[in-house]
Order: sequence, then structure tokens, then C-alpha cells
Amino acid sequence: MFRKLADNWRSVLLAVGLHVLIAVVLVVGVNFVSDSSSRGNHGQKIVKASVVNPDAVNTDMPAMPEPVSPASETKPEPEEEPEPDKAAEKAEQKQAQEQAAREKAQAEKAAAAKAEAAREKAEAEKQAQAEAQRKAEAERKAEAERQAKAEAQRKAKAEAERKAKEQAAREKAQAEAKRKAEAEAKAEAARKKAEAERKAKAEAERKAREEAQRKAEAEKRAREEAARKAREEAQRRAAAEQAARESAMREAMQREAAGRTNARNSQALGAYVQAIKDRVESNWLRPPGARNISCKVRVNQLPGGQITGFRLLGSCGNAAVDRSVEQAIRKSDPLPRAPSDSVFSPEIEFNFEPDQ
Amino acid sequence: MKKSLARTYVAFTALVGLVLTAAAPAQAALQVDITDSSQSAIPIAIAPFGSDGGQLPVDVAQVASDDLESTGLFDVFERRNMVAKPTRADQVNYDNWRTSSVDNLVVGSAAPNGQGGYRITFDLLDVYQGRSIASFQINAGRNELRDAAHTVANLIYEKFVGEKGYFLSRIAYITMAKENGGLRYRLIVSDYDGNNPATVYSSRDPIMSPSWSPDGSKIAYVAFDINRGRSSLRVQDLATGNIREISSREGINGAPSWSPDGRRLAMTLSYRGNPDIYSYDLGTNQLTQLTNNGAIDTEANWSPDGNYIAFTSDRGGKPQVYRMRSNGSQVERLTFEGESNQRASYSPDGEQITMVQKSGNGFRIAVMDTQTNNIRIVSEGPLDDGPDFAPNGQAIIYARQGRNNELATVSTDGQTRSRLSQSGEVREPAWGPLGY
Repeated sequence: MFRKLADNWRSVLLAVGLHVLIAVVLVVGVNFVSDSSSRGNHGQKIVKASVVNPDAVNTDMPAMPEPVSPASETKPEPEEEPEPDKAAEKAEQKQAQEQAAREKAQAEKAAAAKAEAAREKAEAEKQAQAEAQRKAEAERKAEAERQAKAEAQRKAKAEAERKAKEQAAREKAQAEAKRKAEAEAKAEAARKKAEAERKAKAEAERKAREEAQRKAEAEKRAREEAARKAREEAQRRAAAEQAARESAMREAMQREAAGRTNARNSQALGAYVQAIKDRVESNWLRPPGARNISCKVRVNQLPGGQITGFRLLGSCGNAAVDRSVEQAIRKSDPLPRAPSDSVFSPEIEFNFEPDQ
Repeated sequence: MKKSLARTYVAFTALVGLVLTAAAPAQAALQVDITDSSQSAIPIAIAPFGSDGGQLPVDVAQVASDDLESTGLFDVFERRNMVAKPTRADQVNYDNWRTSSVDNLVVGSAAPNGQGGYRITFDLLDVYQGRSIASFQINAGRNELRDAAHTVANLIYEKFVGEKGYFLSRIAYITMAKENGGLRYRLIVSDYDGNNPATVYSSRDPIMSPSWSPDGSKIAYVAFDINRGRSSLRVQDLATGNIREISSREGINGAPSWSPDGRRLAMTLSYRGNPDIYSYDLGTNQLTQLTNNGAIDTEANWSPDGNYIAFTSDRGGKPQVYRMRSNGSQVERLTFEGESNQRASYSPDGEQITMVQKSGNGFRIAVMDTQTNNIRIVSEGPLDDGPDFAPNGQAIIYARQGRNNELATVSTDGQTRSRLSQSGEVREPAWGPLGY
């Protein structure tokens, strides 16, 4: 029985609490009616206390068991050892349960304390009430008490029977509940296991999927990279070819331009030389009758055509011709300006060889 | 490795060579061939000469300017256009003259030389160089200022032309004028420009063919004596006026020409019946017949080297110019152009012969190149005659006949003509030696 009580302390506690509550309601309800009478006893010492059906009380309250520490509390052994990877979860769950139990115990303890206080108070009131009741209605009460005692005995007996019945039902229900809970726990564990398996499988699948995806992505990336590289290579090659073509074209154009420039320069040079020739010839007053004139003259000039140096390389034939040649050059100062730097020459060699 | 190094070296050398080759033209002087010249006359200005001894009796600058101008080779800047009249080089503002396109400027002055004459100094300035290119000093006697002026011109001329100037030379010519109801012929000798004319010989009968001795001291000419019906070839000393008769044979005594050494005279004689050319030795009086031909051979002219004698002959039908060795051998015909060519005269250098060519345009002066036998016409005609080279060969004097008979000179190239101041009919000019 105690073992059972201990095992079902929660039910016991509820039962005790219910009794206390009923007792309190009863007492308060009686006191409420006989308030004025109890007031009449104010200041009187009421020492008499009666124990009604101490057996019942003993029976009813055999154990206000000391709250047990969670550590010493016996716990139902788990029917099945959970999966190793679920140990943590289970431990956690267990811990949570223990925590809840602890909290509940504390709450119950507090409730017990409270109940104790209320009980004491109720006791005191009950004593006072009992004193008054005893004093006012001692006889009637004694009778009533007997009747009440019998009734109470009968009642207590019925109650005990009912309680036992209820207890049995409760126990049955509890067992049922426990079985159910165990089944549920088992189902839960299976479910959890299945869930874990499903989860693991899903995880594996997910992982596989992800791996496949990753792989596919990697492959796709690789393909894209390769394509990109190929594209870039093609572009680079195309660009290189284009550049080469452009370069070749540019070179060709440059060559052509150079050719044009050369032609232009050559043309410009021809025109430039002709301009110098025309100018000097128009300024050369050749001595009449002078024959076999042949000489070279070196002339230095600035870009603007200003003559800075004159040198006769040997006589042209006679002094008069030499003078005429020098004067022709001097008179042509400044010489025609070169059309461009490219045809300009700082030194000019004149060959005086007139047709006879 | 060695091989590639060698190849690199070769490549490098080639590159350097290429660079040098490419660079070479840039460094070479620009070549400009001058093959022609301007036909323009030489611009020159002769500023009036300064004088330390008062007004000069002769305008030296003006005489010299006229000399240069007469040649046609100079474009003499007129005095009235001169902005300034500097007499020394350091007074010259060259920019002014350049602006006037005067290439050359002569500045000078005359001062008493302490011997009654003058010392003339002058500078020839090149306007473009802005400096003097020649300085001269001349001493002249009291009455020699005109010759001094000609000398100034000669010096300038030589500077520019390269030949001696002929401004001190003299000419001889024949004038014909009506006097006292009859004709008067004169042999005149004057300055080259017609100034200072002097009558050497005068006659009512014709005078012909004056010829200067090479030294300019004598003139040979032909004088007619109508009364005697004879002609006389003679040599007259200009200084003394003495006349030496060379030939007055029957028939023609004409067309004398001095040998270059002055020792002989070539002439045309017909005393043997046909006009032929003879050589007369003035030293020995020996006469040598050079031509012997049925046609007329006349107008002999010695080449300057004395080796040849050019002459006129109609042995080909019409008068043409021929040439022979001075001993009469190797006769060859020189002219083939025109209807006729005659009166040949050698240039002083012997390279040209001037003559009168008759063609559809009349009688004109022609010049033939003795190397090529090319002939060019240098006068306008229609009745030009008696051409003779100036002693420097740069001009030809000739007689123009027409409404106004006159003497003219023409540059050898035919570019320039000028007339000499003459009056009356003038013929047969002969240009004497340089005179200095």
C-alpha cells in the first residue's frame, strides 16, 4: 500500500488536498453560521480538541511524505534504450522532466506548507468552534455526535469503499494511462526513431541531392568556365586577329601615307629646288661672252632662307663670273623658304653650268 | 653561339649601313643646277664724284655712266632718281639703294694731285653685301679727266664683264659731206663714242677702207685721185701725219688689212687683170700673191693668230666668205647662208667672224662662230655695212645707211644697240685697239 502510495504520491497528494479542502469548506461553512456564538466565547481558552475518526485521519493522512529530492527519486526505467544518437535528446528530455518534477515538488511543498498553515488555522478555528459547539450544544451534540459518528462511520466506510473503488479505478486508470503513456512513449520513440531515420534519410537525400546539385553546379560552373574561357579565348584571338589586321592595315596605310609623303616630299623638293633655281637664275647676270662657266658654290642657309655662308669651290672661269655668281646668290638672299622641314637643307650646293 | 654572334654582328653592321645610307641624303647639300641666267642688264649707279678742288671740268661720273650704258650691258641708275649722292663708302645707306634695286654702287671723288692734275679715288660697292668689293685710284693730267672717266668705266666694266673695257679705244671712219658745191670726204679718228673727232685725211675724191695698225699708231686706207684715175693704198701715221704709199698700181688698190704682228698688209690688187689678194711685207716691200682665181677675191682679213686670212670671193657665183691659210693655201668656203656674205672681220679672240649678209631682209650684220660655222644676225638692216669688232670682242661697230646714215654698235649677242653721235653720211667704221 505505502509502496503504491509512494508510487502514486501525486494521487495521494491530490486526495489529501481534496480532503483538506472539503474539511475547510465544512468548517468554514459551520463557523459562518455560528459566528456570533463563537464570538461569545471570546477570550475563553478552548483546550478541548477532538479527533474524529483518528483511524480515518491516520488513514487519510498517513503520509505527508517528505518531498523527495530529485536525486533520490526513483524514476521509471525506460523500457528501451534510446538510440545512441538520441541519448542527448533523451538526457535533455529527462533533465527537463526532472526539472519539471523539481518545480512541481517545490510547488507542492509550497502548497503543502500553505495547506499546513491553513490547516493550523482551520484547526484553531475548529477548536474554537468545537469548544463553542461543545459548550452550547453539548448534549445535543453528543447525541448528534453519536449519530454523526455512526453516520460518519458509515459514511467514512462508504467513503473508504468509494475511495478504494475510486482508488482502484484511479489505479487502473493510472495503469492504463501509464501503459498508454508507455505505449505512447514507445510509439513516440518509434516515431522519433522513424522521424530520425526519415530525417537522416532526408538529410542523406538532401545531402545527396545537395551533393548532386553541388556536383552539377560544379560541373555547370566548369562547363561555363570552360565555355567562358573558350569564348574569351576566341574573343582574344579574334581581337588579336583584328588587331593584327588593323595593324597590317595601319602599316599599309602608313606605308601608303609614307609613299604619299615621299611623293609629296619629292614633289615638294622638286618644286623647292626649282624655286631656288628660278630665283638664282633670275638674279644671275652672267658676264656677256663668258664661256665655259663651270663652278660649284656652297651656301649655308637658315630655315627662313637667310644665307649665312657663301663659299666658291674654285673659280667659275674668271673674276667677273665669280663676282656675278656671288652677287646672284647674295641678291637671292633670302632664298625661297622650304615648303616643309623635310625638304629643307641647311646647305645648298649650286652647280653653275650654263648652257653655252 | 659564335655563329649567332657573327650573324648579329652582320645584322648590326647592315643596320648601321642602312641607317648611314638613309641618313646620308639628309646630310648632303641640296643640289641646285644653275643653267640659265638673266638677260637683264647689270643695275648700277655711279654717284657724282666729289671734288676737293672746286667744280671738275669733266663730269667723271656721267662720262663713266654713259660708257657703261652704251654697252647695253648695264642698267645705269639715273642721277635724278638718286635719293642721296654719297662720295664715300661710309656715307652709303645700303637699304636705300636696295630699295631702288640698284645692285651696285660706285662712289668716288677727285682731288688735286699736286702736279696740276687729279687723283681720283673710287669704290665699287656691292649693295647686297653692303660693302666695298673694289677700291681704285687713278692719276690724271690736267686735260685727261675725260680719259680718267673712261678709265673708271673700264675698271668697272672689267669687274663685271671679265673683259677689258674699250672706253679708251678710238674709231676711224669715213664721212662724206657736201661742201662748197662739191663732196668732201674725210677720214676721221675719234674716241670710241664719237667724241673728240679728228680729221686724219680729207679729199674731194673718195676715201675708203680705213684699217688700224695693231698698235693703233697708223691707219691704212685707200684714197682716190679722180684726176689721175688712180687709187692709192697708203699708211698714215696718226701721230705725225706722215703718209706712206704702199701701192698705186693700175686697177684696184684696195681693202688693206694689217697682219696681227703689224708687219704685213693684205690687200686686193688687180694690176694683173683680175682682183686677187696679195700680201705686202712692210719691212721688205715684198709683194706676194695669195689668190689666183678668175673670180673676184677681195676684202682680206687676218685671223688674230696670223694663220688664216678670211676673204670675199664670188668664185661660187655670188660673193661668199672664204678662208685660206695666210700663205694662200687651203681655201675653203665658210658661208652658205643668205644670198651673199662679204666684208668678213675676225673677232679679237678669233672665234667669231662678223660679216654683212644679204638676204630677203636686205643687208644685215651677221656673226659666225668659227668652230661651228653657225651664223646669227645681230642687226636689223636693211643697209648695214662695214662691221668691225670692238677690241675686246664684246661689241661690233657698223654703219647704218638709210634716211639717216650713222654709226651704231651692237653687243656681240645682238641684244643691245647704241648709236654714236655723228652728223652727215658716215661709212666704213674701223675700231682701233683698246688704247691702254
